Amino acid sequence: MSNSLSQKSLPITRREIGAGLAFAEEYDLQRLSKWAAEGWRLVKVKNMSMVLEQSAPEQVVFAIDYQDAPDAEYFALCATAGWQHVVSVEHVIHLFKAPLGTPAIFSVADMTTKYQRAARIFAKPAIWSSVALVLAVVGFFGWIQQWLVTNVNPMVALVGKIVATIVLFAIATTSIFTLLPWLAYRLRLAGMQFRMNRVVFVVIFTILGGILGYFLGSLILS
Amino acid sequence: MNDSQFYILAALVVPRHGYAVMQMLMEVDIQTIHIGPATLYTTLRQLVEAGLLERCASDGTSKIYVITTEGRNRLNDEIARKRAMVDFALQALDQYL
Repeated sequence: MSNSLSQKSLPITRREIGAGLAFAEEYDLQRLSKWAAEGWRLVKVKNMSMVLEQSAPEQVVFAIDYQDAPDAEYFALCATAGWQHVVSVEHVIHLFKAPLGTPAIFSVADMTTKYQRAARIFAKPAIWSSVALVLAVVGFFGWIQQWLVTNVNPMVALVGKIVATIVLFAIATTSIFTLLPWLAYRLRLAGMQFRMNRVVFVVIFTILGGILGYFLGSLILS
Repeated sequence: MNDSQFYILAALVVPRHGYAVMQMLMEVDIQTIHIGPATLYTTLRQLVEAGLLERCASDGTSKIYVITTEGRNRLNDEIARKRAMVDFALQALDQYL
Protein backbone atom coordinates (compact mmCIF):
# COMPACT_ATOMS: atom_id res chain seq x y z
CA MET A 1 0.00 0.00 0.00
CA SER A 2 1.53 3.30 -0.97
CA ASN A 3 1.72 6.09 1.44
CA SER A 4 -0.59 8.78 0.12
CA LEU A 5 0.78 11.34 2.45
CA SER A 6 3.74 13.19 0.96
CA GLN A 7 6.05 15.11 3.15
CA LYS A 8 7.10 18.46 1.87
CA SER A 9 10.86 18.43 2.21
CA LEU A 10 12.34 21.47 3.83
CA PRO A 11 15.34 23.05 2.11
CA ILE A 12 18.63 22.09 3.67
CA THR A 13 20.32 25.11 5.18
CA ARG A 14 23.58 25.80 6.89
CA ARG A 15 25.02 28.78 8.67
CA GLU A 16 28.46 30.27 8.16
CA ILE A 17 30.17 32.89 10.26
CA GLY A 18 31.17 35.82 8.07
CA ALA A 19 34.48 37.59 8.42
CA GLY A 20 32.49 40.82 8.46
CA LEU A 21 31.44 42.51 5.24
CA ALA A 22 32.84 45.78 6.53
CA PHE A 23 36.21 44.29 7.40
CA ALA A 24 36.89 41.60 4.83
CA GLU A 25 34.50 42.34 1.99
CA GLU A 26 36.55 40.70 -0.77
CA TYR A 27 37.15 37.59 1.33
CA ASP A 28 33.46 37.08 2.17
CA LEU A 29 32.35 37.77 -1.42
CA GLN A 30 34.83 35.18 -2.71
CA ARG A 31 33.53 32.66 -0.19
CA LEU A 32 29.98 33.31 -1.36
CA SER A 33 31.06 32.58 -4.96
CA LYS A 34 32.76 29.39 -3.82
CA TRP A 35 29.69 28.22 -1.93
CA ALA A 36 27.45 29.07 -4.87
CA ALA A 37 29.63 26.89 -7.10
CA GLU A 38 29.27 24.09 -4.53
CA GLY A 39 25.47 24.41 -4.55
CA TRP A 40 24.80 26.70 -1.60
CA ARG A 41 22.95 29.94 -2.20
CA LEU A 42 22.84 32.85 0.22
CA VAL A 43 19.37 33.53 1.65
CA LYS A 44 19.99 35.71 4.68
CA VAL A 45 22.66 37.78 6.40
CA LYS A 46 22.28 38.70 10.04
CA ASN A 47 25.04 40.33 12.06
CA MET A 48 28.03 38.07 11.59
CA SER A 49 26.33 35.02 10.14
CA MET A 50 25.26 34.06 6.63
CA VAL A 51 22.48 31.53 6.09
CA LEU A 52 22.92 29.34 3.02
CA GLU A 53 20.33 27.08 1.39
CA GLN A 54 21.12 24.05 -0.75
CA SER A 55 20.42 24.71 -4.42
CA ALA A 56 21.75 24.09 -7.90
CA PRO A 57 25.43 25.01 -8.30
CA GLU A 58 26.07 28.22 -10.18
CA GLN A 59 29.14 30.12 -11.32
CA VAL A 60 28.52 33.63 -10.05
CA VAL A 61 30.34 36.60 -8.61
CA PHE A 62 28.99 38.69 -5.77
CA ALA A 63 29.08 42.43 -5.17
CA ILE A 64 28.06 44.62 -2.27
CA ASP A 65 26.79 48.18 -2.30
CA TYR A 66 25.68 50.63 0.35
CA GLN A 67 22.56 52.71 -0.29
CA ASP A 68 20.27 54.06 2.38
CA ALA A 69 16.78 52.70 1.58
CA PRO A 70 17.02 52.84 -2.23
CA ASP A 71 13.85 52.71 -4.28
CA ALA A 72 12.76 50.07 -6.81
CA GLU A 73 14.62 51.84 -9.62
CA TYR A 74 17.96 50.95 -8.01
CA PHE A 75 17.25 47.22 -8.08
CA ALA A 76 15.74 47.47 -11.58
CA LEU A 77 18.88 49.18 -12.94
CA CYS A 78 21.12 46.54 -11.37
CA ALA A 79 18.95 43.75 -12.75
CA THR A 80 19.10 45.27 -16.24
CA ALA A 81 22.89 45.18 -16.01
CA GLY A 82 22.83 41.52 -15.01
CA TRP A 83 23.14 41.92 -11.24
CA GLN A 84 20.44 40.00 -9.40
CA HIS A 85 19.57 41.24 -5.93
CA VAL A 86 20.20 38.54 -3.29
CA VAL A 87 19.64 40.06 0.15
CA SER A 88 19.60 43.41 1.88
CA VAL A 89 20.66 44.03 5.46
CA GLU A 90 18.80 46.73 7.35
CA HIS A 91 17.91 48.45 4.04
CA VAL A 92 21.46 49.80 3.71
CA ILE A 93 23.71 46.90 2.72
CA HIS A 94 22.76 45.23 -0.56
CA LEU A 95 24.24 42.03 -1.94
CA PHE A 96 24.02 41.15 -5.62
CA LYS A 97 25.17 38.26 -7.77
CA ALA A 98 25.85 37.99 -11.49
CA PRO A 99 27.31 35.46 -13.94
CA LEU A 100 31.09 35.44 -14.30
CA GLY A 101 32.30 38.16 -16.64
CA THR A 102 29.46 40.59 -15.94
CA PRO A 103 30.80 44.18 -15.92
CA ALA A 104 31.25 45.60 -12.44
CA ILE A 105 28.27 46.97 -10.57
CA PHE A 106 30.03 50.30 -10.07
CA SER A 107 32.84 52.23 -11.64
CA VAL A 108 36.35 51.96 -10.27
CA ALA A 109 36.21 55.67 -9.54
CA ASP A 110 33.05 55.11 -7.50
CA MET A 111 34.71 52.72 -5.03
CA THR A 112 35.82 55.59 -2.81
CA THR A 113 32.36 57.17 -2.79
CA LYS A 114 30.89 53.73 -2.03
CA TYR A 115 32.93 53.51 1.20
CA GLN A 116 32.21 57.16 1.97
CA ARG A 117 28.52 56.33 1.67
CA ALA A 118 28.97 53.31 3.93
CA ALA A 119 30.89 55.32 6.55
CA ARG A 120 28.22 58.02 6.43
CA ILE A 121 25.42 55.45 6.91
CA PHE A 122 27.12 53.92 9.96
CA ALA A 123 28.38 57.18 11.47
CA LYS A 124 25.20 58.35 13.15
CA PRO A 125 24.17 55.00 14.73
CA ALA A 126 27.80 54.42 15.77
CA ILE A 127 28.01 57.79 17.50
CA TRP A 128 24.61 57.54 19.18
CA SER A 129 25.07 53.95 20.34
CA SER A 130 28.55 54.72 21.70
CA VAL A 131 27.26 57.78 23.57
CA ALA A 132 24.37 55.64 24.89
CA LEU A 133 26.86 52.98 26.01
CA VAL A 134 29.02 55.47 27.89
CA LEU A 135 25.97 57.06 29.52
CA ALA A 136 24.55 53.64 30.40
CA VAL A 137 27.79 52.45 32.01
CA VAL A 138 28.23 55.70 33.93
CA GLY A 139 24.56 55.76 34.90
CA PHE A 140 24.36 52.13 35.95
CA PHE A 141 27.52 52.20 38.02
CA GLY A 142 26.64 55.59 39.37
CA TRP A 143 23.32 56.70 40.69
CA ILE A 144 21.12 53.83 39.42
CA GLN A 145 23.05 51.15 41.29
CA GLN A 146 23.17 53.35 44.39
CA TRP A 147 19.42 53.92 44.16
CA LEU A 148 18.69 50.19 43.74
CA VAL A 149 20.78 49.26 46.76
CA THR A 150 19.57 51.92 49.19
CA ASN A 151 15.98 52.60 48.25
CA VAL A 152 14.30 49.35 47.24
CA ASN A 153 13.66 45.86 48.42
CA PRO A 154 16.70 43.55 47.81
CA MET A 155 14.68 41.27 45.50
CA VAL A 156 13.46 44.24 43.47
CA ALA A 157 17.02 45.53 43.38
CA LEU A 158 18.23 42.20 41.99
CA VAL A 159 15.56 42.21 39.29
CA GLY A 160 16.45 45.82 38.52
CA LYS A 161 20.11 44.89 38.15
CA ILE A 162 19.26 42.01 35.81
CA VAL A 163 17.12 44.31 33.65
CA ALA A 164 19.93 46.87 33.67
CA THR A 165 22.36 44.15 32.61
CA ILE A 166 20.18 43.13 29.67
CA VAL A 167 19.76 46.75 28.56
CA LEU A 168 23.50 47.39 28.90
CA PHE A 169 24.29 44.26 26.87
CA ALA A 170 21.85 45.32 24.12
CA ILE A 171 23.38 48.80 23.92
CA ALA A 172 26.91 47.37 23.88
CA THR A 173 26.05 44.94 21.07
CA THR A 174 24.52 47.73 18.99
CA SER A 175 27.58 49.85 19.58
CA ILE A 176 29.94 47.07 18.50
CA PHE A 177 28.00 46.33 15.30
CA THR A 178 27.95 49.98 14.27
CA LEU A 179 31.20 51.38 15.63
CA LEU A 180 33.50 48.65 14.29
CA PRO A 181 32.10 48.75 10.73
CA TRP A 182 32.31 52.56 10.72
CA LEU A 183 35.94 52.28 11.86
CA ALA A 184 36.65 49.68 9.17
CA TYR A 185 35.28 51.94 6.41
CA ARG A 186 37.21 54.96 7.70
CA LEU A 187 40.42 52.93 7.76
CA ARG A 188 39.75 51.66 4.24
CA LEU A 189 39.26 55.23 3.04
CA ALA A 190 42.53 56.13 4.73
CA GLY A 191 44.19 53.50 2.58
CA MET A 192 44.48 50.83 5.23
CA GLN A 193 43.01 47.42 4.55
CA PHE A 194 41.41 46.46 7.81
CA ARG A 195 41.90 42.77 7.21
CA MET A 196 40.15 40.61 9.68
CA ASN A 197 39.98 36.91 9.92
CA ARG A 198 38.17 34.62 12.25
CA VAL A 199 41.03 34.51 14.76
CA VAL A 200 41.23 38.29 15.05
CA PHE A 201 37.45 38.49 15.37
CA VAL A 202 37.46 35.90 18.14
CA VAL A 203 40.21 37.80 19.96
CA ILE A 204 38.42 41.15 19.69
CA PHE A 205 35.08 39.77 20.79
CA THR A 206 36.70 37.82 23.62
CA ILE A 207 38.32 41.00 24.91
CA LEU A 208 35.11 42.98 24.54
CA GLY A 209 33.12 40.16 26.07
CA GLY A 210 35.54 39.98 28.98
CA ILE A 211 35.29 43.71 29.62
CA LEU A 212 31.51 43.59 29.39
CA GLY A 213 31.38 40.51 31.62
CA TYR A 214 33.53 42.26 34.20
CA PHE A 215 31.23 45.26 34.31
CA LEU A 216 28.10 43.14 34.33
CA GLY A 217 29.46 40.87 37.04
CA SER A 218 30.32 43.90 39.16
CA LEU A 219 26.83 45.23 38.60
CA ILE A 220 25.04 42.06 39.65
CA LEU A 221 27.31 40.98 42.48
CA SER A 222 27.64 44.39 44.13
CA MET B 1 32.28 67.36 -12.53
CA ASN B 2 33.61 63.80 -12.82
CA ASP B 3 33.53 61.67 -15.97
CA SER B 4 30.46 59.67 -14.91
CA GLN B 5 28.46 62.84 -14.30
CA PHE B 6 29.60 64.28 -17.63
CA TYR B 7 28.55 61.25 -19.67
CA ILE B 8 25.21 60.90 -17.87
CA LEU B 9 24.39 64.60 -18.30
CA ALA B 10 25.23 64.38 -22.00
CA ALA B 11 23.08 61.27 -22.40
CA LEU B 12 20.10 63.07 -20.86
CA VAL B 13 20.02 66.07 -23.20
CA VAL B 14 16.81 64.37 -24.32
CA PRO B 15 14.46 62.67 -21.83
CA ARG B 16 15.36 59.04 -21.17
CA HIS B 17 14.76 56.30 -18.65
CA GLY B 18 17.62 55.45 -16.36
CA TYR B 19 18.03 52.01 -17.93
CA ALA B 20 18.05 53.57 -21.43
CA VAL B 21 20.98 55.72 -20.31
CA MET B 22 22.76 52.60 -19.10
CA GLN B 23 22.09 50.77 -22.39
CA MET B 24 23.33 53.78 -24.32
CA LEU B 25 26.55 53.99 -22.32
CA MET B 26 27.11 50.23 -22.67
CA GLU B 27 26.69 50.38 -26.44
CA VAL B 28 28.94 53.36 -26.98
CA ASP B 29 32.57 52.35 -27.12
CA ILE B 30 33.73 54.34 -24.16
CA GLN B 31 37.25 53.10 -23.61
CA THR B 32 38.07 55.15 -20.61
CA ILE B 33 35.11 54.63 -18.33
CA HIS B 34 32.71 52.01 -17.13
CA ILE B 35 29.54 53.24 -15.43
CA GLY B 36 27.92 50.47 -13.49
CA PRO B 37 24.23 50.46 -12.49
CA ALA B 38 24.97 51.37 -8.86
CA THR B 39 27.13 54.27 -9.99
CA LEU B 40 24.42 55.38 -12.42
CA TYR B 41 21.78 55.33 -9.69
CA THR B 42 23.93 57.30 -7.27
CA THR B 43 24.96 59.81 -9.94
CA LEU B 44 21.37 60.36 -11.11
CA ARG B 45 20.35 61.16 -7.55
CA GLN B 46 23.32 63.50 -7.11
CA LEU B 47 22.56 65.35 -10.33
CA VAL B 48 18.87 65.71 -9.45
CA GLU B 49 19.80 67.04 -5.99
CA ALA B 50 22.24 69.48 -7.61
CA GLY B 51 19.51 70.74 -9.93
CA LEU B 52 21.29 69.61 -13.10
CA LEU B 53 18.70 66.94 -13.91
CA GLU B 54 15.00 66.65 -13.24
CA ARG B 55 12.61 63.75 -13.18
CA CYS B 56 9.91 64.41 -15.72
CA ALA B 57 7.88 61.22 -15.44
CA SER B 58 7.75 57.84 -13.81
CA ASP B 59 6.09 54.55 -14.64
CA GLY B 60 6.55 52.49 -11.53
CA THR B 61 10.16 51.43 -11.13
CA SER B 62 11.48 53.37 -14.07
CA LYS B 63 11.89 57.14 -13.93
CA ILE B 64 12.50 59.46 -16.88
CA TYR B 65 15.16 62.08 -16.48
CA VAL B 66 16.12 65.11 -18.53
CA ILE B 67 18.75 67.80 -18.24
CA THR B 68 17.70 71.15 -16.76
CA THR B 69 18.70 74.59 -18.05
CA GLU B 70 21.32 74.79 -15.32
CA GLY B 71 22.52 71.32 -16.26
CA ARG B 72 22.82 72.34 -19.91
CA ASN B 73 24.86 75.40 -18.93
CA ARG B 74 27.15 73.28 -16.77
CA LEU B 75 27.56 70.77 -19.58
CA ASN B 76 28.49 73.53 -22.03
CA ASP B 77 30.98 74.96 -19.54
CA GLU B 78 32.51 71.51 -19.05
CA ILE B 79 32.76 70.94 -22.81
CA ALA B 80 34.53 74.30 -23.18
CA ARG B 81 36.88 73.41 -20.35
CA LYS B 82 37.75 70.02 -21.79
CA ARG B 83 38.17 71.54 -25.25
CA ALA B 84 40.63 74.09 -23.84
CA MET B 85 42.56 71.26 -22.18
CA VAL B 86 42.76 69.30 -25.43
CA ASP B 87 43.77 72.39 -27.44
CA PHE B 88 46.52 73.15 -24.93
CA ALA B 89 47.87 69.61 -25.14
CA LEU B 90 47.71 69.55 -28.95
CA GLN B 91 49.53 72.86 -29.10
CA ALA B 92 52.21 71.56 -26.76
CA LEU B 93 52.63 68.40 -28.84
CA ASP B 94 52.80 70.42 -32.09
CA GLN B 95 55.76 72.37 -30.76
CA TYR B 96 57.75 69.18 -30.40
CA LEU B 97 56.74 67.47 -33.65
